Amino acid sequence: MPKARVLLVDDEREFAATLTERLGLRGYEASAAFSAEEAIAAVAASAPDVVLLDLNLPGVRGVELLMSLRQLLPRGEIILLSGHLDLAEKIEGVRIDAFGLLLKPVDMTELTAKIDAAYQKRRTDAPR
Amino acid sequence: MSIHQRFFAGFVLALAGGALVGVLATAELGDAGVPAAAGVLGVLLAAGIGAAHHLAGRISAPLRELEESMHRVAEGDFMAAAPAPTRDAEIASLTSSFTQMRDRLKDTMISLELAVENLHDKQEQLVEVEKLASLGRVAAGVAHEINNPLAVINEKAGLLQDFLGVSGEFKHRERFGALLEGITDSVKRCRAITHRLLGFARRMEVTVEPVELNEEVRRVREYLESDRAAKGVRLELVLADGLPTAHTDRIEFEQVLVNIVKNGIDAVPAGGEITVATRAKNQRWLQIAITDNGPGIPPEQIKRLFEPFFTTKEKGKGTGLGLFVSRGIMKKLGGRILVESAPGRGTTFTLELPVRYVAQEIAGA
Repeated sequence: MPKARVLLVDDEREFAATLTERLGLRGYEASAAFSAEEAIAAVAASAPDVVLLDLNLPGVRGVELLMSLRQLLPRGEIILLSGHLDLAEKIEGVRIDAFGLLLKPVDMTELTAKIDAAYQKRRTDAPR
Repeated sequence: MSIHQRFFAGFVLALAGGALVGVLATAELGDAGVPAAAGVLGVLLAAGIGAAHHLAGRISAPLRELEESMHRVAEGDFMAAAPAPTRDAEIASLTSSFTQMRDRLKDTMISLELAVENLHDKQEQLVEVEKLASLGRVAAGVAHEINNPLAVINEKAGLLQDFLGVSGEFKHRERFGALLEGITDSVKRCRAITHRLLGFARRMEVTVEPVELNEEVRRVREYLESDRAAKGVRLELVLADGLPTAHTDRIEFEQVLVNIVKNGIDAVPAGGEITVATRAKNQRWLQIAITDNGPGIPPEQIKRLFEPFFTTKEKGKGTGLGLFVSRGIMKKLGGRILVESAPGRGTTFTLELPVRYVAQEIAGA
């Protein structure tokens, strides 16, 4: 099975850059966006299969960003990757839209399993 | 007629009687009789006063007693006796009114005291809940702040491991690998703590569903099967038949059960034994007792068992949050955890769970 094209959205550059590199080593076509604007531009330009999204970006409401990305990316899966969970209620409201939620720091095996499952779903789902 | 009027009337009547007799005597004796009459009058007057005094005494003694009793009641002595029975109907009625008043006052005082006590309990509970809630908020904040840099460490160390995996032989290669593993293992330990703290802060809400207690116990045994087998521990289930279906938060309750049974597995020596027993305490309460034949817990540690970060496990094995979180959950579910232990005699944790979850007064989240 070919590997997913993954976009990692996180303002924590050290984290995003390193994880991108690690995913690359594992055969994924991974890239990183460090802000909401960059994320929207990247999604519009390349329509990744899977987006790993941190909802705590400065200057933007995470839920709104999620909605925008979802509109831009009707056939991609979005996985929330967050450092904390007191967004639980907000996430509850949008859960239907997100493929899953992972808490940082995340185990690589767990992360790649989730990415693969999201990619699998995207490939088997009828176009939305 | 009031007591005072009556008392006064008696006195006047006696005086009037004495005076009348004196006047009649004077008239009969004529002028010569004046001194004698005056003498008789004096005697009679004295007699009249004496009679009045006697009458007054018959009334005032019980009154004085009554007054004394009232003073004692006023000072809070509700056992103060009513005056002895008296022949006087009005004083008797007064005494009986006094007794009724005293008894009613006593009842009111007792229910007031109970209410105050209850209020204190509630207040303490509320303070406890508030403490937990604000601790939860602080914990969540700290956990979040730590998770982000921790994630960076995790990925950087992970990337180094990735590189190491594709590198050829070089000097200190093995050392390198071991050191990196030390880093990633420590990250895992931190992660266990922060994730637990976040879990604790997040889960203030309760999802109620029907729960078959015995099924839960069996499920938890399955979860822990690998831990159990690895240590060669025997895990016995003693499940009561016909338990009522509980209505509670299954996931939360399961977490408590897992925590405590897992603690038991950690506590017993290899080949040790753990028993999980279920029973209905009564119509409204279910009981689950988890007994291990481990070394037991010294009394001075029992007091601290439920404190956050208190652990007796070796470094890196426990977060010290398992029992703390478990107690929080049981409280939230309206139940509690009891512990009974003595060094050398094993330990029993008893979970008491209400059959029907009743929303707790939880402030904030």
